[in-house]
This record gives sequence, C-alpha cells and structure tokens, in this order.
Amino acid sequence: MAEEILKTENLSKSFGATKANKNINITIHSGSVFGLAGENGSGKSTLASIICGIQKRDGGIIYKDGNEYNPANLIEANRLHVSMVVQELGVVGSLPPAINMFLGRTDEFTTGGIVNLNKMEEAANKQLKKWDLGSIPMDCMTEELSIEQRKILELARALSTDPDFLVLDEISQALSHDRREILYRFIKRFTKEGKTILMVTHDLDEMMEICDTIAVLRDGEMIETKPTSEFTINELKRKMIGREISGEYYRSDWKEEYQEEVILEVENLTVPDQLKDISFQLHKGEILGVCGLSDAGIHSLGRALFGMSERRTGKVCVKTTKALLNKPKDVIKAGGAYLSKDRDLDGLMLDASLGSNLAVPSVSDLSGRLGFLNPREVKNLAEEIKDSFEIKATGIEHIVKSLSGGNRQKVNLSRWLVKDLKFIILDCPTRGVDIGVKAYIYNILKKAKKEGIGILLISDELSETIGMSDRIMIMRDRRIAGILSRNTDFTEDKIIEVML
Amino acid sequence: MGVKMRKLKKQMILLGCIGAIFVISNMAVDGRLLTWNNMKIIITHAIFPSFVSWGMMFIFTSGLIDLSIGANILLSANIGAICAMDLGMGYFGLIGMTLISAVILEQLSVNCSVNLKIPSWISGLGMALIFEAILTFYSTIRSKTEGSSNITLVNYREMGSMPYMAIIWIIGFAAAYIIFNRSTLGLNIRAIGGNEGVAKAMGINMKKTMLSGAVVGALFIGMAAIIQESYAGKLASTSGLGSLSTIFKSLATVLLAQSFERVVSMPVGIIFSAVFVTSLFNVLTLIGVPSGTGQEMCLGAIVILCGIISHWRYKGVVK
Repeated sequence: MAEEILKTENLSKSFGATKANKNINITIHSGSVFGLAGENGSGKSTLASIICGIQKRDGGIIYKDGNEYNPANLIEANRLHVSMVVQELGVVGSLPPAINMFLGRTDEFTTGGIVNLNKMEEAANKQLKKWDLGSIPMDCMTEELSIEQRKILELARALSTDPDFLVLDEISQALSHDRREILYRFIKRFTKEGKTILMVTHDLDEMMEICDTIAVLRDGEMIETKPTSEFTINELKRKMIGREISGEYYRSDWKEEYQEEVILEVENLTVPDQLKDISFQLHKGEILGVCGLSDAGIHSLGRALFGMSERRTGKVCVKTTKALLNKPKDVIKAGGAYLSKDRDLDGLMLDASLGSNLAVPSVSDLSGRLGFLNPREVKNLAEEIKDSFEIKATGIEHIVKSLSGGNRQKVNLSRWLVKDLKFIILDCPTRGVDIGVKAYIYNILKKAKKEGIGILLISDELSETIGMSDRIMIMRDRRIAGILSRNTDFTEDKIIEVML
Repeated sequence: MGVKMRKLKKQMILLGCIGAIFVISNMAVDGRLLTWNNMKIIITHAIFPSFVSWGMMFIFTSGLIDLSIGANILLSANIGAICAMDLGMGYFGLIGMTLISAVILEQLSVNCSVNLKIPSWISGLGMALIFEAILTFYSTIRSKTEGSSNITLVNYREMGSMPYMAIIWIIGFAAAYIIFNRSTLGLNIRAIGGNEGVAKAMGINMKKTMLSGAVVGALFIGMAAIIQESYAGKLASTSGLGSLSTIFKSLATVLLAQSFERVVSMPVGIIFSAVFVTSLFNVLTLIGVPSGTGQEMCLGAIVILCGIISHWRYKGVVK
C-alpha cells in the first residue's frame, strides 16, 4: 500500500445555517486518483477549497505527509506542494497567457526590477511541453483564447507550482473530446510519478474510468468511500442522490423522428477564422446534435447563429417567414433562444436576484403599452418558473451567484423555455451540472422536442449527443464533415472516425 | 495569419488612419497644420496630458477612479513654486516638493477610498473640493499680503521649455512603459484591474498594490504639475470642482488610449492619443473655432467620442 499523502479528521465547514461539510474523514494515498462524487451543493468543491487553503475550515484537522497541514491561502498551499484548478476561478483576460501562468510569482523572472517576459514565455511553453498539454498561443491576450485553452492554461499554472497533490475541480467538462484525451494522458503520467490527484467531476463514466478510489458526499456528509472496482455506476448514482433515479436518462428510442416542417435554414454561413460554408436545416421537433474536436468550430456556430459574430456572411433565416436572423434581437423576435457554453459570463447576471434573472427574457412580453412593468406580474412569473423547474433557492430574491452550478443552469434554461419558443440553440447545456440536474435537463429537452421546438444541441460530450439527437452534425476544420442519422449511424467509433 | 502578424497589421492600419487624418486636416487648414513650428507647438502641448494620462493609467487600471487629480496638480504645483521662490529652495523645492506633495495628496485621496471603503470617485470628488479650498484659502491670504493671489515662477522654468520638455517626455514614456509592462507592480496592477478574484487568489496583496500604483501614478502627476508650472509660470486656484477641467484633455487621452489597447500597449497609446487630441484642438484653433466655449464644447464631444471608441466592441453594459 502506498503512503498516506493527505488525511482529514472530522473536517467541518458551515456557511451560516448551511453545513457544507460535516465531520469529513478521508485518507488519500500517494500516486492515486481520488474521486469526489456528489450532487451540486453536496460539499465537494468546499472540501477541495479547504484542502487548498481557499476556504477556512471551522473544525477538524488535515494532515499532509503525516504533518498537520493548515494553509492560510492558495499560495501557502502551493508552497506545501498542493495546487488546484478551480471550477470557476478563471484567468485575467487582459494579460498575456504567460503572465497568467506565473501571476503572483513574477518576481522569479525579475532582474533589476524588470520582468523578463521572454524568459517567462519560455518557462510557460516549457511547462506545457513538460506535461504534454498541447500548445497555447503566447503572443496574445488571454481573453483571445478559447475556454478550453484557458482551462489548459489554468492546469499548467497549477502544475508550475510543482505540486505533489493536485485538485482538479470540474476541469474536463470544459474540454472537448481530444483535449480530454490529453488530460487523461496527463493524469496517468502524473500519478505514475507518485503524485496524487483529487478529482471532482460530474461525469460518472469518467470518474469510474480514471479514479482508484471514490468518496461519495451527500448534503455535506461522507456517505461512503471505497475502491472504484467495488462500485457500479448505478450504485454510485444511488449513493449520490440518496434514491434510485427514476425515469429515463437519455432517449430510449433509436429513431430519427421529427416533423417535416423546417424551422431554421442556414445557407453558406461563414465567419472568418471560425466557420466555413455551413449549410443545414433544423426541423420542427428535431434535436440536431453538433459535435467536433476542439477548434472544429462547434461553439463558434452557436454564437454565429445567434448573431453575435462579427463579419458573418451567409444566410440564417426562419424558413416559413423568410425572416433573416442577423442579430440576437432578430433571433429572439423569431422565437429563438441561445444558451452560451460560458454560462456565468454570457448567460447570467450573477450579482442580480434570481427573480431578475428569470424575468429578463420576458420583460418585453410583460411590459404594458407605455413600457412599464407590473411588479406583481414579474414576481408571479419568476415564482412560477422557480417552482415548476424546481430551482433550489431561498426565494426569488436569492442572489444568483450563490446558487449551485446546476441551479444556475436551470435558471439559464428555464427562463427561455417558458416563452413561446420555436427553436433553441444550446451550447453544452449540462456543463458543470450533476447527474440529477442532467437527467432533469434531458427530460425538459425531450418535452420541448415533443412540443415541436427545434433544438440545436452543441456538446463536447459524445454520449450526450448520441443519447439525445435525431441527427448529429459533425464538424471538422470549421466545416461540416458529415451528418449522421439516429436510425443507423450512432456509434461513438463512427462519430470519432468522421471527427478525425 | 499569426497573432503577431495580425497585431502588426492593426498597428499599420492605426498609423495609416492617424496619418490620413493629419493629411486631410492639413488640407482643411491650408497646410498650416504640418509645419515644423506648428508641430512643435502640438508636441509642447501634448506633454502635459501625456504625463497626467500616464499617472491616471497607474491609478485607474487597478479600478480607482480618482477625480482629485486636477486639484492635486494645482495644489502640488503651487507648493513646489512656493518652495522654489518664496522659501528659496530652487530646483530642489520645485521638483522635490511638488513630487512629494503630489504623492501625499494622492495617498490621502486613495487611502480615503481604500481604507474607508468609499467608492473612489466619491472620495476623489470630496478630496478635490478640499484641495481646491486649501489653495483658494492660501490665494486669498496671498492676495491680501502680496497683492497677487497666485505665486509666479519667475526663475527655474527650463523644464517648461524645449528641448528639456521633450527630453523629460521621452524619459517619462520609457519609465511608464517599463513599469506598466515590465515590472511586477505594473503586472499586478493590471491583474487587479482585469480580475480581482484571480489576482487575490494568486497571492497579490491588493491594498499594497493599489497604494503603490497610486504612488507611481502620483509621481507622473507631480511631473505634469512641474512641467505645467514651468511652462505657464503660474497655476491659478479654482473652486467648485473647476480643477476637473484641468484633466479633461488627459481623460480624453486615456479613453482613446484604452480603445487602442488591443493594438498598442497603454503607455504607447497615450503618446499617440495625447498628440492626436492636442492636434484636434490645434486644428480647431486654426479653423477659427473660438478658444472658450466653442473648443470646450468640442472637448466634451471628444471625451464622449473617445468613451464610445474605447468600448466599441464591448459586449455588455458599461457602468
């Protein structure tokens, strides 16, 4: 048995009346991958944050390498060789990637008060190369990088502190198929060197595949810890939720089924450096999946269809009315909606109340003739959405920033679905949400499909596109590489073959 | 096309646009813009807003919007002049005491915001009123005792004439560029302005960085005060936030430089913008727009225009 690298005894943490962690006892061994499973709000991220010094514990003891370990902040944790890639910390967009990688440690590259940026870039590239994480352009601002590149940058930043204990909180959900492969290769290599990973992920297949040991948290309590080989995926789900998950997860049929009527028609859609000559039709009641490797252009497609891309050419129109959709307001007017992959940045008003966030898309519908809103109508709408979509919050005054990831995504999606939609563009709708919320979102999508709403489902998860789509549009090099039908072609191998 | 090539292309386009505007403006004023003497006047007038803008850059980037900078300039310039002339401290008084005063006044303003947790623009306005009142109080006493309300810098005015001004400008640019782009302090200020949460998590001491940034910014503001005092000979007291008009041109310069930020870094952008904004005023004078209200109206329009350009592609609500 490998040595114990980290051990917690009766670790506790409360936020007001909410007990996020209750007497947590875990033991993690060197050279292993330790998985933390649990629903959104179960206390996984809190536990990870305490270990990394980002949050202070209320009680309990942590030992690292046999010694009591009590970091005051992440920097001190880094000094003790513990590092973390946080779910929602991010980077400084207005600084170059190399500076982001060594932020707070720029003194290491300073001679006579002047920071040597070339040396820093070299060190950053060396770090990426050392762990085989792929390349990231260094001669631009970090805000110009894709979400995936930024996540890889955060991983490289964490690794640059030379950790022997690394916490990965929901990192893979931001990555596409090929970059996930890079991540998995890295994890193998890292643990082979005797170093340890604490992994938080909602992708249970990934967890079963990668982790040596899994600990299940529910409502802040440790439910069970045992080797992965002793868990089945259904048992894991049951332990996480506390009951059997009823109903279907993905679609159970294997038939391409939608109405003849075309809702959205796209012809020769091109955005320089992002999309080339994209043409397709979205039918009434169809779920059209979109997948591809990183840089294939799948996320650019969502933005371009919603009219958010600059220098867009080609035609996007509503087939029946021939209305052209050039700007977001055209899409909304035509009964369309868009959910961005970056939920917090592009979707939600994080510092505003739940009620304000829920009511925003419907403000024009609720306005009177003179443009005034009736506060009671706004409140009723917000409460109706909150109740019908089971959003867990203290009330509609609850600030969105303090909701869990899954509930935030429910807010993001539900406020559009109460409108009279004809089509919706969803970019990674289940990113960062647990299986309970995932199942809920899939059921909503199935219901929306039945109601005749056309859904464009852009996803980095192959299982999701396979499980939910009528057709899958596969993109490669910013073009459509092929469209597969649910009737015959839906296998992971076949999709990857077209992707490559 | 690589990122570097794209940036270079943008830089070329920017230079081309500025060049084209100058050529067109020159034609509009019958060739009086691009003459050696006129260009010298433009450069002379661009130096003061450049220094103020570099100072603002170090203060504003970390999120502190200090509106007491104008009053700071007036008060510290007068303190420097008093030390140089009345107290017989010469250049040491002019340079040393102006810089020290600028730093102290800026620290008062910034500390008031940081420590008392007041929005910086509110504490800045409050401090501006206080600084203006102190100078006005002194001017009133001086007018009774000396017969003149403002001290005049009779000697020690070389720093307000060419070529010294240009030399100081070049040194100032080099210092601003290196500190902003190549020092830990500059990078930390930019990190705080870019994402406070990340900066904090990366162990950057927020308060220390903001206050240190304000010290560096104040040194540039102090230099601006010295140059202006040396150039004009005296800086008159104002009241009722009249000092704000002192920094309007510099504000336009900073906003314009922000709009160029993706093409050239801020310290370089400030040079271009200061020359550009000063040239616009020069052109307005050459075409006969009255120097009082007419040009001030244009200044207001330019500030708004620069604000629009600086947020041209910003996808969100500008607060």
